[in-house]
Amino acid sequence: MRELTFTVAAREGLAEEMERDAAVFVMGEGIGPRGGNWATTVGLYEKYGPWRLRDTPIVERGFAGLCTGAALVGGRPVVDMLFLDFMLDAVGEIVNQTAKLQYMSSGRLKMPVVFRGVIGVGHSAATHHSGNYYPMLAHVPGLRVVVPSTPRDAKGLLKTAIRSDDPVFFLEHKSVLNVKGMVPDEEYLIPFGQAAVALEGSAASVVAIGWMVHQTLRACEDLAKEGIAVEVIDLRSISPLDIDTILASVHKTGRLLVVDEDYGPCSIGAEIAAQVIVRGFDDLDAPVMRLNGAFTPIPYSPPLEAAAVPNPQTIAQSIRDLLAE
Amino acid sequence: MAVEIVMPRLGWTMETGIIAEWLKHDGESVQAGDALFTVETDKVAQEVEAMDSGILRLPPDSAPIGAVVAVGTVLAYLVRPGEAAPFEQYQPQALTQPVDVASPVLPSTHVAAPIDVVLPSENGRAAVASPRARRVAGELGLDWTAIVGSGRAGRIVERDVRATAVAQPVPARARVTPVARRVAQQSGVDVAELATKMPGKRITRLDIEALSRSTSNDAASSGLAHPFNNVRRVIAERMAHSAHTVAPVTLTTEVDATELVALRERIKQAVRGSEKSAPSYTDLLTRLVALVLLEHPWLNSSLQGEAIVQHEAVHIGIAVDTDQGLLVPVVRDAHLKSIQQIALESAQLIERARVGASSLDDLQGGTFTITNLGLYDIDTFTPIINLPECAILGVGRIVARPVVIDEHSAQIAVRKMLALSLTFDHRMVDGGPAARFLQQVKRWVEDPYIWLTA
Repeated sequence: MRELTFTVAAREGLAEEMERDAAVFVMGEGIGPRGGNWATTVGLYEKYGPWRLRDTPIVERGFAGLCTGAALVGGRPVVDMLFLDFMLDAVGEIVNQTAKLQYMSSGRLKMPVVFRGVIGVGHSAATHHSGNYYPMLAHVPGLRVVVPSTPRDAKGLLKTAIRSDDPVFFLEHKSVLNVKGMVPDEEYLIPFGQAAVALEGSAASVVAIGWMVHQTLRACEDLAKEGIAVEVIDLRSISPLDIDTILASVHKTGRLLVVDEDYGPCSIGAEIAAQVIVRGFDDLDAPVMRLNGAFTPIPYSPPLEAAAVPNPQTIAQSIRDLLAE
Repeated sequence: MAVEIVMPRLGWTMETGIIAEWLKHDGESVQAGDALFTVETDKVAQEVEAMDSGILRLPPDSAPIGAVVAVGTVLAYLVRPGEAAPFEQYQPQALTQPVDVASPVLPSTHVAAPIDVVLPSENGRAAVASPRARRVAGELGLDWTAIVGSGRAGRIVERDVRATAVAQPVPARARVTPVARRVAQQSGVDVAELATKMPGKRITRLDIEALSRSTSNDAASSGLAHPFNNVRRVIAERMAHSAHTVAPVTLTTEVDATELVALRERIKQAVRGSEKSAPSYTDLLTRLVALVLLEHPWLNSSLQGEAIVQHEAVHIGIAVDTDQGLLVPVVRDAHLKSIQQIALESAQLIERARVGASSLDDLQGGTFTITNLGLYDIDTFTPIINLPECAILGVGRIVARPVVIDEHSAQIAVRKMLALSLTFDHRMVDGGPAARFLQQVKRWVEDPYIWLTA
């Protein structure tokens, strides 16, 4: 066991997979000699050179399509989008080609592409550099979407993503990149569709995504002083969604809150609520509640930016409100 | 939808303006592009034109001519023909959360459930329960509609159902705050009774505390209050009456029941596999006592006024412990029935008593009562006479004890011993006759073959 940051753990996973399978290569802006805008490939260019660490011009649609084609003929590309917002330029390729070619070829074609990108609000990244977008991606049949929140999960999920023959979106929140955590020495993979219980409790179930897992745990420290012990579930896998873990928790606690930095309308929380209502109706002691970021393009101004997203105080208050229901 | 006419910002630094003149009047039709009013700033007097068409409506409290008005202030409205101006319509209070500067999340996007501040008890809405509460109520066999909810807007939630299962249920009509209910439980106050004294009032914690204070005995109010049900009331009256009128004396004796136990074991083995059931010890004693009473009629009598009436028949009451309280169904003519008949009948009587289905006939007409507490490891006790009867026999447990068999040779053996306690009414019967009765009961228990062949 070693203590690593999220970035280093993910990079270790990438390095191990590149070592294991020569077909794995990385494409993106600044991922070659520069080592990646978010240090995603530091040290790898020196080891594998420009054939496997391929810098690109600023044309996301181009290299997303290029990697889709490469995957079709045996490559295993990791497409580094830098800020996930930039994938919007490539949505046409991703949705119509990458996501659908396996289906359209009746399974003859495989699509082992990983798209990775940094998501989330913070540091005045503002309107074009703060997106989350995972509900949009989760809504496309054929795409896998994972949002790890710990270094251990980052490495395990990235390795699974690279070994998967399906297109995977591996999303890393800006504020999570420097989070430190223990990572096992031995090889391990984390399967998709598995949520993790980050904290056990009985007063209510709180599902959190990405950076919100850490903010929620901070809120729980305050709530513990008031004698409130909630169960926190790190969703980890957006698509496929581990609804069974959530249902088991709701069966125990009777109350559910989803904490998600992303906007409320058509959110993952809405999807979870709809599924829980169908399968866990008689377990609900209160309506399913959601705490989301403000439905607005993300502000540049620091106080406005802070006001636009949940924080430990608002999360704690939402939990108290849920318990009062 | 009314269009707001506001004080415009006519320059970068303009913060206020003065309405110099209205060029259109209240109720007048306006076309887009018409000059509406003139504004004076410190620099300019400027005409402001309408951007929309409509009927101009000035609110009664519109800024008067010459008043200094902040930029952005609503001055008037343009409405469609026939449309009422906003200041003429009833405006429901918008349900917004107060914008707290310290809590940064913007209220309009905090996706919480709409806040319904109207409580059902105030508008007579039917009880509402969460799905989980209904499920748990079903599991516990409770009627959730009678439970008071502690969730928001009076919603019944799981904790309310579970609390009701433990404490006494509060009738739906009693409006009690959740805190009051908790305090009442802790202080042993009967909320239901309190509610009947204050009809229509919403009972709060202050009411409970006031009642607790008025009850002077702290010890009495520190437990859970259970009001009398019918059975309890009758028992209380009867026991009190008996205790106050009878002159009770209790005689006890220790009986060697080894033979009786052996007898019962043989009967149990004999009936095994057949439809017959083995008689209980109470059944055996019922038969035995009935026969002894025939030889000791003073113990089978009642006091009526100043006459002691000896009964010809023996009807033995059997004390039964039920959920509602003590019931005493009667085995009639126990002196005439066989042990089998007595066993069959007593089983039916006891079952009816346990489920609360005893008839009036079941519970009346006894001339003597047997009460058996042996099941609970009791040895001797002082049963209270079941008026108008004269005596009651208390039966203890049968337990193996070391007993002196032969005093001269100091021989000790283990025998099945049974304690019998006879309470009799000394107004009617003296100690001697009562003791002789008990002695014969003892002899016949020790040697069952005498009365089996009676």
